[in-house]
Amino acid sequence: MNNQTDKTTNNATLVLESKGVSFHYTQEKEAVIDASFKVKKGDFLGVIGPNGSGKSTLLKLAAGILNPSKGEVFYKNKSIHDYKKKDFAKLAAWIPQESGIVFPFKTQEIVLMGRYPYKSGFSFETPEDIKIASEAMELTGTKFLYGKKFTEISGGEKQRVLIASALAQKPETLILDEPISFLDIKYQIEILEILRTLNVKYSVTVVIALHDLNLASKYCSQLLLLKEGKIVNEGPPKRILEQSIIESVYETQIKTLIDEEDGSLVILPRTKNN
Amino acid sequence: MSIEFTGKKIFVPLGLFFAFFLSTLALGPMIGPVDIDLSNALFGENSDSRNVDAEIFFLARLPRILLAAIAGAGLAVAGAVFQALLRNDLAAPFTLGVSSGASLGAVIAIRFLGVSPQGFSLVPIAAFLGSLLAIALVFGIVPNKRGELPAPVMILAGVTVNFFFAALVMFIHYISDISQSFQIVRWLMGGLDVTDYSTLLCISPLVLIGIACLIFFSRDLNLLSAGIESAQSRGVDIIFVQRVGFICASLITGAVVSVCGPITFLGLIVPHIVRLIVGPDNRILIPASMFFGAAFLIMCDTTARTIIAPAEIPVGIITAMLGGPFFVWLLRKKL
Repeated sequence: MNNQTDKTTNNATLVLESKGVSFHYTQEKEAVIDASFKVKKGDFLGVIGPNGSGKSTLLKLAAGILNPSKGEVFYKNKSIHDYKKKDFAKLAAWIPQESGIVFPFKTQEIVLMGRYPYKSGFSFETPEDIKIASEAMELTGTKFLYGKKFTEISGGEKQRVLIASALAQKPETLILDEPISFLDIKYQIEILEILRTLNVKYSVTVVIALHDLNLASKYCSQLLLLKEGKIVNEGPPKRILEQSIIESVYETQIKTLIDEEDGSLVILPRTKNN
Repeated sequence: MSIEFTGKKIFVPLGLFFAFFLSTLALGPMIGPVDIDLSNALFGENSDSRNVDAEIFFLARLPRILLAAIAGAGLAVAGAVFQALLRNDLAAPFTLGVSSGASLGAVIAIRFLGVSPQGFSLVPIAAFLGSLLAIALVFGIVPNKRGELPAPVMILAGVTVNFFFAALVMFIHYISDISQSFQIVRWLMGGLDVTDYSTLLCISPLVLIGIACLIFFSRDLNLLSAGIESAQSRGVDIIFVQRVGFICASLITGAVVSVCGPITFLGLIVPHIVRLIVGPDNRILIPASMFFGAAFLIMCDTTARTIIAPAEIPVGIITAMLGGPFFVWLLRKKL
């Protein structure tokens, strides 16, 4: 199953590696079961699967937010729990689906929080922190939000500010938990384009959980398909988004077409009337 | 457009809050049912005849003003920190049951213990122990297998402890005689009237060290207040910071309540008001709340002891009566 993955990214270095990782929130049901996968530098890895298949949990394990009950996650061949917390935060940044921020922080204050791993004790931001935060806002097109309250901007703007905040951590890998699920198509594309730019121009490795299979098909270089906590398939989108695979995992009738513009697969559901 | 340097703009608002605090601290001892001659109090002869001005200034008013400052500062900072830790701007120092625990301790002391053989009141000590019991109960109820302290569960546990202890307080109140009953009611209203310098010396170190500690962790509290998992992914030691935060804020609250009783509302509204002015950055919010809380309680207490002089109103009544309408006005203005 890994052959194809290895072929496409043969000469790239391994960044993130999960070895036999399991996790359960409750005793009865495991959320992630024996998950092993590799992410190479420069990958744009999409994590897909039905609701409750363990996408968020897998990403939280990869970001070191949850500790696996079995197995281990490695970053550059070193267990992520052997890194100092702040040191790991300088390598990989995690972006939540929803921030849950209730206090009226200004957007730039949120972005500057990304500088946390580089500072200690009671301190204020240095001019260098501010320069880096400013660049992160530039890259994500959020400079016009300077001075606005985070709680008062739109959902799409919030996600871009959160990405800017993650970029202020100066990470080499971004781990995003369904960042576009609550957004309409315009903002979905906007955010994925930002991520593509970061991936292509700044060689940031992207690991992203996605709901929309068609967007996953267009933007991701690799896909990881989850069902009931298990990785059931992995590889490039053209192979994973095959009719039989998707039908069995999602338990839905679909058909696939090819987008003539970029040759990507497009998935259409079959309705009952067909 | 460049991003402003955060360090620059903190000193102006903080300086204003500090100046406000200093002016209440200076004016407070001047105001009261009896006019005093300040120059006589400070520099007057103190040889054979009694210096009444100095006695009123140094023995009656000053310790009380200083206690108000310490209590107000402590409750306001504890409120700000609970709001940040629980990511809920309706949290207050009493959300986790600290005041009801203290009340239970005080009520038990009033009903069953009276005064110690040495003649000092056991009420503050029992109240402080009660507040510790409440904290221990809340932490015991919350299942923290992985060392996490989920905010909604914490709040629920606090509310439960509050109700349970309130029921016990009512029960003991019910079986008390009329003079104990009056003492109990009076204690539950909160007040600063039993003051000498020794009380002040007892609670000041705890409150001040607690505040200093919380200010030191205020940058970590910022990240926690913006989301626990995000904070964790950025390298915040969330378990440690949450523990330090909850323990310091609870101890501050317990110390203040054991001496002053549950002074309601201050711990909720002061951080709110200050946040509306300086924003939610805890590095500014906590010290500014400290100054404003101190100033606010000095003002309330000055009102409490002058408005129906020579009698006094329990200060807890004033904080809620002044604070409530002011808060509503502020909220409406903001919307």
